[in-house]
Amino acid sequence: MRLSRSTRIAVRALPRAFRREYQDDLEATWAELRQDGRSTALGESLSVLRLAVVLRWRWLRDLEHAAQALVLVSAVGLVIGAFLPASLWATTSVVGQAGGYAGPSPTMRLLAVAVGVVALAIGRDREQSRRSVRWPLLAFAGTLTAQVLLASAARLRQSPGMERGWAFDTALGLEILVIASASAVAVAVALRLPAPGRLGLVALGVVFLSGAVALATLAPVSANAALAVHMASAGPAFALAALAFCAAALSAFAPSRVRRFGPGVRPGSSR
Amino acid sequence: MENARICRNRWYGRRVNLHHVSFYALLALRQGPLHGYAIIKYVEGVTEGEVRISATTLYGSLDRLSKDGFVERRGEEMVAGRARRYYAITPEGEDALRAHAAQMRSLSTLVLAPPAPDGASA
Repeated sequence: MRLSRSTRIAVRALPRAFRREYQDDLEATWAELRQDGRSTALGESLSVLRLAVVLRWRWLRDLEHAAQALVLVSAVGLVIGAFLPASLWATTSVVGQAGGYAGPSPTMRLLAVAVGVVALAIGRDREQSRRSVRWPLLAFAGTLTAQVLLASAARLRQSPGMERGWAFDTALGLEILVIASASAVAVAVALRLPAPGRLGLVALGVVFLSGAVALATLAPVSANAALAVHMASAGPAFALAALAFCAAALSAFAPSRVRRFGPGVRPGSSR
Repeated sequence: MENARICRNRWYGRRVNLHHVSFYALLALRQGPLHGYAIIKYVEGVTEGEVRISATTLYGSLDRLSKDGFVERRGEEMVAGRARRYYAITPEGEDALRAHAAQMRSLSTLVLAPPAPDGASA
């Protein structure tokens, strides 16, 4: 039996490893089902496409597991980073080398610790309850955003003409909280929204991404040196926020999943 | 996935819960090593035609079961120029199947138990 053209095209959508492992076997089974008159080219093509989607989502799930691990690493890094001596910051960080940065202010350190601890708590709790890997993804995105904003704050503190002090630090701290909270709300909403709402979330991600591109483009031509530095620093933060939103939306699109555990089964794996 | 939604309960996550296709596949393989087509036929037979698993769904399930160590390969034979593979259940797969069946039994007891007499419940 030869596969129909549509089925052959559909089969290519399957992950390569799966094809290598099962294609021959699958075709042998199709051949027998066709002899029984119970398999059609259209049915095969559609079911293969559906399987391809399911298998690709598995890959995304693995990515989420990676994010789950990263959130812990990142949170620890954030907390440690906040307590590094100023001299180490000045010599080891790119920001420090560029502007002779003297390390985060006490307010920023405090905020970094708060964000790191919350991220750790979320990551650890979810790891233990084995309930969902989406929240760690959110925490990871929030932590990364906070880290980038820390760097952004560092640049600003060194910028000529920029006022430094607690008011400035507080403003930046609020900025971190707003972005982290927005990510949290976005993910929480995404998990409960119908498809159009999730699409809206993707659109929001695109807006953030456009903002990042715009900032990166405009920063070099800005007449205000301090503003230029701020824009250049905020670009990556916007890009990360965009990624977080897109990841949250993609995650929310994943088909209903069950956590099944048993002897020798990884958390989050399904059979 | 329709039978999966009940498992979103916080405490359910720690139990063994096989997807229904995986459950049927393991049930079939308990009879001995089978190839994909034989698994499909067995499931149809045992459910009196009520459950029909598509080939792709079955292989997706076999792939995951293999990765979890619940199923293993057991030889091949050539059919019309294609290698047809046999699959067998592993001891871990047997354990998971039994655990799942025990869960189903306890849950079905809740459904099938005779209703409590009036006023017996709070």
